[in-house]
Amino acid sequence: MLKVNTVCINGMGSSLILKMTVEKAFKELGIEASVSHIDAGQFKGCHPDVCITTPALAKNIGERPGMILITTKNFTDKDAMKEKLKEALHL
Amino acid sequence: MLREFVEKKHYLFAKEAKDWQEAIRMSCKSLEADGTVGTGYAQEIIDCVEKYGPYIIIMPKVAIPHSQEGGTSVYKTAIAFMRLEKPVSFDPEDPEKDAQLFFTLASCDPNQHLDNMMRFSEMMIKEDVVEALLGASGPEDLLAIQEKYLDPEK
Repeated sequence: MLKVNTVCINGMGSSLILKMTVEKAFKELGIEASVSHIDAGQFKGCHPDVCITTPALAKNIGERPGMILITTKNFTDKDAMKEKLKEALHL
Repeated sequence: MLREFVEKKHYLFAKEAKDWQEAIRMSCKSLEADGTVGTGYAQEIIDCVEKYGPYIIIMPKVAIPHSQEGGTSVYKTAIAFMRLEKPVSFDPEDPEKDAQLFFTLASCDPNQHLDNMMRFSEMMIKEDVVEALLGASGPEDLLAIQEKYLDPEK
């Protein structure tokens, strides 16, 4: 199963909404994924397969070997998220 | 959720705000009125946005002002609604960061907050609801939108 983190500044707003949108997108794509939301500070100790966050935070997080980094400005657009996932995961 | 905003008087309809800082202060007013948050909460949010940038804009025209979980001036868990007639800018160089709808989050109970956010997210995923909220001008509109789009079919 894919391990996915949605990341925002303090873990109670955007990342939570993003988690729900991402879960729906994965479900519709028929992919099993475990999605958890987390704040940027805690994320440093996490090693997910996929990290989804804002363009601004992605700059701080940076590319990591073996991790797919996806950015979005819209946290509720499930269809756009599906497209991003498809592209990133080569579906 | 919209009915809850009306019942708890967690809403504000206003013409405009002179800047985003004032918009955030206004968006906290209805939560301050019933003691959900203290008067310091608005400043906590403003400090966070100044430090981290406008992370509270979650989609075009929509902001969710909040600081951290268990902020020092949060006493209850709730979401408050505000609509401005004229959008306010969070970043003069990025019109995508203009906001007109505000859903101010207060959380001191993670489970209740999660439940609120699930209902909030279900609501915001519906484009026609967001569109209708952008055109709302009073509490009666919130109730009408709730009945039209969100209440289960009778």
